[in-house]
Parts: sequence; structure tokens; C-alpha cells
Amino acid sequence: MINQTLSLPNTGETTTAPSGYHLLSLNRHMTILIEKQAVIRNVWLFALLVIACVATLSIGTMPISPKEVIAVLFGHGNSMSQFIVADLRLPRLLAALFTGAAFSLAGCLMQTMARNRLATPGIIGIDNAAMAFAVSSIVGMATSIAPSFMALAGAATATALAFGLAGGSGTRGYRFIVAGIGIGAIAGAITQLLLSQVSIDVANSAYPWTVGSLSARDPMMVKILGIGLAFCLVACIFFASQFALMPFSDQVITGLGANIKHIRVIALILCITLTGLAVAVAGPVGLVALVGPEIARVLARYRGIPLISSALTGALVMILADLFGRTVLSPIELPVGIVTAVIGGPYLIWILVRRTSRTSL
Amino acid sequence: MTATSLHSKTTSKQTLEIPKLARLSAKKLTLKHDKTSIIESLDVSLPEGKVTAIVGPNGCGKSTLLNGLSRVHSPSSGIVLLDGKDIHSLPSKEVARRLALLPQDTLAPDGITIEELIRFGRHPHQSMLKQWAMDDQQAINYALNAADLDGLKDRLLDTLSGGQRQRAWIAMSIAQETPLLLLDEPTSALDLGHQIEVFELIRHLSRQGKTLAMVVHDLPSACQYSDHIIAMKKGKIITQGSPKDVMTKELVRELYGVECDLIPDPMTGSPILINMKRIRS
Repeated sequence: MINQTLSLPNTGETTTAPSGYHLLSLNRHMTILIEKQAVIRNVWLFALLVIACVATLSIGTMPISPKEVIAVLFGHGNSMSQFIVADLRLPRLLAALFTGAAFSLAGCLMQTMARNRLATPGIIGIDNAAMAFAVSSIVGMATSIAPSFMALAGAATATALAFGLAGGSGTRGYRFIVAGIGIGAIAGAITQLLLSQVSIDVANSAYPWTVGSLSARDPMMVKILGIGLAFCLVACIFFASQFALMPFSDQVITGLGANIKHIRVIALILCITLTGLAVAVAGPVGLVALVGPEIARVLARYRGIPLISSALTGALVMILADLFGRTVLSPIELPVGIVTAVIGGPYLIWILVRRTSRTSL
Repeated sequence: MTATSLHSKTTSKQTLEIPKLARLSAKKLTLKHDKTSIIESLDVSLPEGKVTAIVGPNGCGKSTLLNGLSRVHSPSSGIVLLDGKDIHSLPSKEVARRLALLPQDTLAPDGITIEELIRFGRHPHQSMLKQWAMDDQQAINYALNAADLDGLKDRLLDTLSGGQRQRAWIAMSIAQETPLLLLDEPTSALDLGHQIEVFELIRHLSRQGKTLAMVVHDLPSACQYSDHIIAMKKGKIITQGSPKDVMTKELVRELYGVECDLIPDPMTGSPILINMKRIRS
């Protein structure tokens, strides 16, 4: 399937892939370029992710051997370990996997679009707005689908507001970020206000979720997030060549025949969907959106847009953070949002400092 | 209107197979920033197969005109015609196969190599399922060669000198294989040696049959490296024509408020400005 060369009968010459790429050619009219480094990177990340998943499923108050975990995953194993792995731990693992990937992918997209590494959905206020809307639905309504859609509505509202307040400068420039920070602060205050108005039991049950936790997840919302994430990943692959143009100036993008407005609208819709649905599951764990893409970028030589790598690193960070929060002070459980903040924050600073110190590379 | 009579009769026998010459013109073009008119009811047409230099003082609308002609800036009224059709009615990718634009602001992804940058020039020729073909490879090799970047293709863009970087950007436009190329101040940030390097590349492209237009600040360079000069002031074209006909003391005074004398370059005959003095107005 993968050819380094492709001979064309009508010319004497052969087509060779540009250095650093695989040329996947089905026939003369269907050729796809795949970056070699990206393949290696993503295979490694995927392998690490699988290891982290098995570890998560085996570690806990009732340790289960990795061998037994794998047996359960393939439909074997005794009923006790089946119950613990498949019914107790797997749903939580899936929630961590999906939310981590979704937050990180959304972060990578928005950073690229805004051409600013600070511009993640969490900082633009999308997380907080999604949470405020979702909390209002928990306080007001009892159906389980409602929070997902309310969170989506909140995410869309915050984005639209940030855009409106940024004026002509669009997603580029600091006004978008400053407006977003303001919106996030207001949305956070609304959440607090809503929680202070309800009975202490309702507020208590909603609290872990407002700091970012995987213990309060709803299976329905996890399912919706999974579907949304799959859809967004496919869209990212489909639009990859257009998204790759985003770091260029608007003039260059237009000059190359791409429609900058379409690209931006698509990227924003993906950001809103991913963030809204992920917040509905785990609350605002916005730091994953900063850390995940940053790790992916450090790993990527060509610092284009490592979208798939970002999704993988985000999932990895989320799973490890949740595992850490669950085990380090067991039986006390630390919400994953707090773990990512405590571990992710300094790590992020380290990456930033390290990156600037080797610009001479 | 002299421009339309300049339609050259070049045949399609060129070393690189550039599509037939393309005509770019504007009729009654008005371009606004917010509500301020930058250019009002302007008629212009680029002579085919020649290098056109657009000159004028800061803020006269040179770059805006270039953005208008390349469909980056939509007109408030009037029309830009590419081969006789409204440029905004054509699919953007189709336009990008005939017209390339090199803007002043040249942001690029971090950590991109020369070859990767040039490959972006192939975007209008590619699709999701046709990402790499013989013509892409040929165009990139041609562009690398024309811009004299053969040995540098795997170097990171950030590690190059200003002149090399500008040549890499021009190479990206060359790889786009368009008959038309518009450049916004291609030499503004470069030292003398690199300026000449870029101007000579532009000349070379013109000899290959391309139609080029560039915004230039330096009048002597504009005279030396262009076939046609468009002089603009306050959003209007004051005069246009060949450098020898257009470049006069009066024009320099009108454009820049500078008194000077003009002498012909002993080697090339193109005008040189001497004895320059700013006059108070």
C-alpha cells in the first residue's frame, strides 16, 4: 500500500514523496501524504494510552491483575472482576478518555485559530459558560440529556459573545481573549449564584462537578460525548489540509484559494461541540486544553497542527490525572480538575520556560 | 488605458508551462476600510507579461489596491476582472490557480522547512484525495531552482537570512504556477544585496512570461526593475507608463514633496534621483 515511488507511464520520471512523508497512492488520481513523524508519534502515544487504560482498570481498592483486566475486556474473567472492571471502572475510564481528548483537541484548534497559545476554550470562558448553563438545567430540570445540550448552548453563547465583543478583530488579537476572560468570570459567578439558591443537598452534589470531576458523570452524557468526539475527529481529518493553513495570515490563506471564514466557522463549531459536551461530563477541566496541545507540540517536529496527537495526549493526561487523584490519598478522592491544576500548572510553566530557552535550535 | 494596447503576443513556448497569460483589471473600483474610502472609482489594468511597479507615498492606497486586485479586500463598488470575469464570482481555488499574492505580513507556522512552505503553494492544485502528484513535485523543484534554494530545502524557515526567507516566500508563489503574481513590498525589510537578489528573481519570472505587479517604495529600483509604473496619490492614479516617460522631477515633487534632479544611469539608462531636498508645503 505504501509506496515510496509511484511511476507514471506517460513520463519517464517518478513521483517521490517529499522528505519526511509517506506517499499513499491508490491510483494516479488518489494520493495521500502522511507525515512519517506523526505516524510514529501517534503510534507511541496510542501505545502509552493503552497501557494507561489497563493500569487504570487494574489499580484501585480492589487490585485486579492486568492479565485479568484484559481477559475481562475480551469477555472472559470471573464475575467479580467483571463487575469491578466493566461496571465500575470502565465507565469512569471512558469518561476520562473522552473528556481529555475533547478538551485537548478543542484547545489545539482554538490556539491555532487565534494564533495564540493562551487562547483555549477554558480561558475564553467557554468552559465556565457551558457549566453555568448545565448547572441551571440541573437545578431546574430532571432529564439526563438536558445538561449536554444546555452545556452546548452555553458554549455557543460564550463564543458568540466573545466574538461580538471582540469587534472587527475576530479571533485574532487580544480583545477576543480579554472579552472571553470577562465572560468566563461572569459565567462562573452565575454558577455560584445558582448553587447558593438551591438546597444544600443539590448544591453539594453539583459541587465536585463545578471544580471538574469524573465521579459525577452521567452515562448518557458520556455516550453523547463519545459520539460527538468521533464526529469531530473525522471532521479534523477531513479538513486537515484547510486547518493546516490557519497559522498563515488571512491574505496568504485567501491567496491560496481557501475560504478563511469557512475554515474559522468549522473550527469554532468543533471547539464548541467538544468543549460543551466534555463540560457536561466532567465540568471545566480547562487546563487539559492548555497542557495537552503543548505536549503534542513539543513532540511534533513540524509544529503545524498536531490535532490527533493533541487528542491522544489530552486523553493520556486526563487518565493519569484521574488515576493519581483516585489513588494518592485513597480513600479520599481528589477531583481531577484539581489534580490537573496542581500537576499541569507547573508542568506547563516548565514547558514554556524550556521552549523559550532553546529557540536557537 | 494605454495598458490594454500592451497585450503581448507571447506564445505559450516557455521553459515552464505556465497557463496562458491572464488579464487582471479593475473598473470603477472603490475600496473602503470601515467607512473611509481608500480608493475611489479607480480604473486600472496590468500590462500582460510585464513587471508593473506601484509607487506612491505612505497611505496612498497601494497595498489596498493590491489587496483589492487579489480579492482579499472586497470592493464597496466597482469590479475586479480576471480574464474578463468578476473575480469574486469565480471559485477561490480557481482564482488561486491564476493569481498568486505575496503579502507584506509573512507569518508562517513555527518550525516549517523551506520545502514544506513551498508545498503550501500547491494547495490550489490539490484536493483531499489528490495530495501529491507529478506536477506538484515538478512545480516545487522548479520553484526551488528558480529561487536558488536547492541546497536549503530542508532548512527551517526561521534559520534563514531575510533575503533567503523572502526568496522562499516567492518560491511558494512560484510553485502556485500562476500566470499572475502580485507582491506587496517584496524588498522592504531587506538590505541592498538581498533587495537586488529579489528584484532579479522578479525580473527572471517576468522573462518566463509571468505578469507581475509589485508595490515598491524605492523609486530608482522601481524604475530599474519594472516595465510599467503606476504612480498613486490619495487613492488615485496620477500617471502611469514606462519608467522613462513617467519619472519626472514634477512627479517626485507631487508624490513626496521632494525637490530633486534626475539623471540617467550611465549603465542602464534608468532614472536616478540626486540632489534631493524636502520642500515645505
